[in-house]
Amino acid sequence: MNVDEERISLIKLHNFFYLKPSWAWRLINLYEKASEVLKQAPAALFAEAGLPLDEGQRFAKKVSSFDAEKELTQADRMGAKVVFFDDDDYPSLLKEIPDPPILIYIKGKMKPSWPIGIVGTRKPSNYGVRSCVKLIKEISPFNISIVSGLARGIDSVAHESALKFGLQTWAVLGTGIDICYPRENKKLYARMPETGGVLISEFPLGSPPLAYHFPRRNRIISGVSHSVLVIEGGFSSGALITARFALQQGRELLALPGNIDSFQSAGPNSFIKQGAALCSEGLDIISSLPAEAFLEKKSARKEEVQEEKIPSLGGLANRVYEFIAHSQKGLTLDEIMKEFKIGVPEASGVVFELETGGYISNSEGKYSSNSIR
Amino acid sequence: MLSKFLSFGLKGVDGFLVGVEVDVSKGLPTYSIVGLPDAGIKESKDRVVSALRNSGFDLPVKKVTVNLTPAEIKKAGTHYDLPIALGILKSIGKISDVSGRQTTSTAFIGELSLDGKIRPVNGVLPMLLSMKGKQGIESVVVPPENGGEAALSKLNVYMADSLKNVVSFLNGEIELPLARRRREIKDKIFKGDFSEVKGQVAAKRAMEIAAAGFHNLLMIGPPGSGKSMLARRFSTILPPLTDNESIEVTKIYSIAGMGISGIIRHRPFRDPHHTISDAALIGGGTNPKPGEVSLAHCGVLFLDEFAEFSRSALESLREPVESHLVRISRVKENVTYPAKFILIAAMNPCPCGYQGHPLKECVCTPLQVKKYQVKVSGPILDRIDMHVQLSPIKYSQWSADKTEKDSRSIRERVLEALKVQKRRFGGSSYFNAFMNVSEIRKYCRLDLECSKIMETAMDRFGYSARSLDKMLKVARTIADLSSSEEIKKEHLTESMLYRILDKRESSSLIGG
Repeated sequence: MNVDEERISLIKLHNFFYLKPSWAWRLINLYEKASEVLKQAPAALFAEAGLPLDEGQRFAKKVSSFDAEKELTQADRMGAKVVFFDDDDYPSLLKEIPDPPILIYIKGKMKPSWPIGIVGTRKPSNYGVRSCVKLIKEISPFNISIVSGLARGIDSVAHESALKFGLQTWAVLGTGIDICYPRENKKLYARMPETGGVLISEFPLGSPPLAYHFPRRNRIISGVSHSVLVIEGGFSSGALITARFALQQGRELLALPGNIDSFQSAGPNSFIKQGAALCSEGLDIISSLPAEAFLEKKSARKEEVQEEKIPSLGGLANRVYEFIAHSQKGLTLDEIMKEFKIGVPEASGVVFELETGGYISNSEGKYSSNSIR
Repeated sequence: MLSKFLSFGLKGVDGFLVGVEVDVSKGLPTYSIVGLPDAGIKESKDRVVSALRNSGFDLPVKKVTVNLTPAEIKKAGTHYDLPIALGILKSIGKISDVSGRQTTSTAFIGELSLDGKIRPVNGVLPMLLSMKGKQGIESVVVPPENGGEAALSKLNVYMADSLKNVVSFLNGEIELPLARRRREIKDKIFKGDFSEVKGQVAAKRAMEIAAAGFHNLLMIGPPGSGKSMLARRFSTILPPLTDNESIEVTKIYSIAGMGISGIIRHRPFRDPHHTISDAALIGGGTNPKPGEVSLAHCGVLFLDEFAEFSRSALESLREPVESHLVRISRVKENVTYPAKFILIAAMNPCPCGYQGHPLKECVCTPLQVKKYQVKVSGPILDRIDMHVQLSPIKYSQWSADKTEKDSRSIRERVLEALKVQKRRFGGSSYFNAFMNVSEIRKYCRLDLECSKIMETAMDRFGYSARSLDKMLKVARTIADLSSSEEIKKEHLTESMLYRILDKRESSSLIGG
């Protein structure tokens, strides 16, 4: 393979320094070229750059044993590209963050668009899921990319809805780009590059899902995005780490308001209190972007964007539906029976109609509305 | 000289006649017991010797041989003490053959203490019941404590409290008191009532259906949602035991040595802890004993914290739930205990219990939750007809002064549904839950509208063919509860409420 020496050197540097890109940058700045860096004696190199000397030994060993060309071939074979900081494909916003990776792995076609980060808990409430879908649907006429982390919960919902409503979506992984984590998102992982999705990772091929990878991954999510929307997340949620990165990196932060007694909304509510933009409709997201974004509106995709489904059922079913749709946390069958003073047989018929009609769904014993309003 | 007395042995819940032969002959003074005795019987040697001496008899310095016939069947238990002691006494001429009673039609049961008193033993009732007039037994001598249960048989039951009294009785010197058939014993009946459980209307309804059709039920809900409370009150809505069932239950309790003094009339309620061993749950041991599943025969087996039971315990439940009996195989014997029970299982939705709780945060990782739930899935879940989800109760429901449905009114409906089932199946204890596939096809026909609903549901929720059959059985019971010949639309849709775990995970928000 004919690749220039500089790129090979960068891959070698990245493979050692991917957790500390700032060190790599210091060395590159010092010697102007990565290939020059590798020509130096390790001890002198580390001393010169003021880096811990004991790392120098490890560096020498690691760099000499690492086969950068193989890494490139492997990436190529799985359809991924290695994108360097100076390449055109390198996300321009990512260049602005304090410690940008010297290279990233990308799989899929990245089209020019306005990236929006959407993050949230792995265990969302029905409200969180519903709102996330609703907001993505509302911004679907615009040239937006939805950036998230391919985790369970809100991340998956964001990717799925983006694909559904015809938006580009970027998944930033906490593993090597050739590894799917969590396993249950295997289908989504496989489907994304083919259907307008892009996988992004700064970790070398084969990197396992280690706990400390994910906060680093989060800085890329906010790093590539114009603004970041927090859907739901408790105080210790990873979504909040991303939100804090967004603030450090000077990104616009939006938060979905929630009930004050809902622990999943504790994070976003506290951000709103601190001054994050309250996001209650799609336009709130668009207005966080430069004015051009608003002007780039596509023609509405009629077949995708359908109006809210209102049950055209009998009187009782409609009233039950309204009752469920207006509840905040979903309703149990008991509550429905009590409200309408009906017995189990009658109630079962009504919820069956509503459920098979796709108006409501049941999770953990509670019925809640499917509608996106 | 040779003598022979009669006693009983037990195999599973069936008794058999045992001949206790004693030969006292000249020779070196030894004492041996043959005829496959277990350790308990071998120990009887020491008890018998002391009991004889302390009752005022001298053991001859001779060779004593005891044989338990039929010699090829294993025997266990301490109740052979009495016939062995009597055999020795007769062999040395302390019991007269001439003036005394016929010993060939009398059987003897009793453990001896060292002072010659007769102590109670386990399993008397099943020993006697399987005898019914067979093999010429007309009367039996039992320890006084066992008199109550023994009187349930058709034999003359004498109660003896000491070895000396039995000897005097046999010599025609005194009379032993006859055990009288007592009226039903006072059961420890659970005093609770369904009206004490606030809210949870849907769960109560599910219990009503489970009781009416003998369906197994799984309750899923966070701590404090009333799962255990409901389960404990379940027996208050069950129909009473039939006479045959009462006898079966009493036999099992007698074998298990659960201190019964008369016939059991209420349906058993067993709630073993989740740390229970497989053998204790299913039955077993070197000398097989009935386990919790058999003690719950004709009643309720309540397994709280279902997912915490060991996997092997849950697996071992499969056979009794499926075939209503437990087979315990040992090298020398096979024992079968009946185990027809309603399984009421309760579990939290996740290890910490608060998944889906409106106020408390669940601290489990998705993987933990999955592992927890997978534990009860598979074969055992396939054998559970109904699952219901309970939500924590709110104060407004708790404080509502509205009177709840009480056990009596629920029980009346259950009894009505029972009559319908009796008419349908003919038998006395055959329930909708026991229907096989051809019976389901026969008795659970769906009209056009219901077939349509079934089709919609299968498309929408991805129910399997197996869950379909279960739904049909439950729908049949719901129809029986409302005295409806046909399964109607509302019966079917209601039955679907009780198959929540079969629903395909519908992330319909996105997929819809």
